[in-house]
Amino acid sequence: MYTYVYDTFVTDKKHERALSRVETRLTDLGISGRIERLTMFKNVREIVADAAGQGCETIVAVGNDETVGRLIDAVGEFDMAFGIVPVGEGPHGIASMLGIDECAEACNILSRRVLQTIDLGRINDHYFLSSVLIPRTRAAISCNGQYSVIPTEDNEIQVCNLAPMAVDAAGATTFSSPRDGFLETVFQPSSPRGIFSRLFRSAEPPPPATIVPVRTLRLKHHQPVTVIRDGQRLSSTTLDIEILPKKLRVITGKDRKFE
Amino acid sequence: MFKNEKEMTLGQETETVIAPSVRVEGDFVSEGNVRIEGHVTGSISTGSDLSVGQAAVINANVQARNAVLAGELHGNVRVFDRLELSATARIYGDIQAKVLSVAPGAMMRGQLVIGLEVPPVEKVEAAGHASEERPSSGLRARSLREKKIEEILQQ
Repeated sequence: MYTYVYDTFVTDKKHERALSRVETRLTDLGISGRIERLTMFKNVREIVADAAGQGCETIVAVGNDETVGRLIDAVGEFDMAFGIVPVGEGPHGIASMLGIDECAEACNILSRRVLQTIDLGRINDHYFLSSVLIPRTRAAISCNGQYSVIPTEDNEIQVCNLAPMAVDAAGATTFSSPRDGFLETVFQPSSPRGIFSRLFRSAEPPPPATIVPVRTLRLKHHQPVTVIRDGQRLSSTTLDIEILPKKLRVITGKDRKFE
Repeated sequence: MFKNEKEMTLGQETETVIAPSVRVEGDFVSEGNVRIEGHVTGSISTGSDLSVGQAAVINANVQARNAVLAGELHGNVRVFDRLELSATARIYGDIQAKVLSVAPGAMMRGQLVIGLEVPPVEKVEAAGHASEERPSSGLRARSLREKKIEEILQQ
């Protein structure tokens, strides 16, 4: 049984045609199911728990990366497969990483149901699928409880499970793998804030980044740090981040960006 | 760990990179390749290859499968296979390696054990611990005497 969770913006008039096409295709493929609509007043965890209670085996986020972020936080608690139908304005980076680039093709991918078991990240009590972005900081990060990485200048830190990382000298993009049991943590020195500095530095390549694969991370700060987890904001003075290996079954297309 | 869009290969591990914009303190353990361009204090252990850049400063005992050292290292080095010292390398500590290659200009101060099998140790001691065990060689903070020797060698 499938449950489709529509984000609030999906029901806008401008997406009506795309959504109608998706629903028709899902019916044709025989995989239509229950539809839930996210609203300001609906608790996502309740929706997912309710679906799990009714024997839902597959839950599908219909929307963009933020929809996935809201849903994955709840889906991590349950044993069900997870799919995405990208609809509306992006970002659709997570769908793209899973090899799902277009909403009509997403229906075919759901129907083929090629499942991969991948790792899931957790930050404090929240799950994340793609990455956590910690804005410019010089706070020490404790890794695996064994060593600390201390930025000597402002660094933007991206903790990646399933995300595009950097572009190498040859112009190829590198991706983190969600099946290696590690969170690839990238410490990228921040660009200067001044407009002139930015203008004159634009042609220069970015300074080299530190890349460390870790299983656990801890950041403590005297003031709350606001981070972005799969498009969702989270503030805390202590951030405990860990990888949960082989925690989630996802439906993927053949063009997925990992093995 | 990382996969390239054009050349995704199964089981390929991306190297860990320590850039100049960070400092690492503690027992750094890795399974994959490690490239260090910044500062590390404590210990470093990898089951693969280690590369230490020219600008890197390491105060740590080091263990690796293969290593290329071009920076400054205060600590003991254990390399199971091949160790390469570039012309800019400055090593203050004991070296154990199966094969050693030294470029002209490299500087070493410590005992050398070359050509024998190097047994791995489970846990690499941090630089400070080792210096207590073996005060006569390696793993010491840079002393004035060492600085002087370095100056003479550079002349």
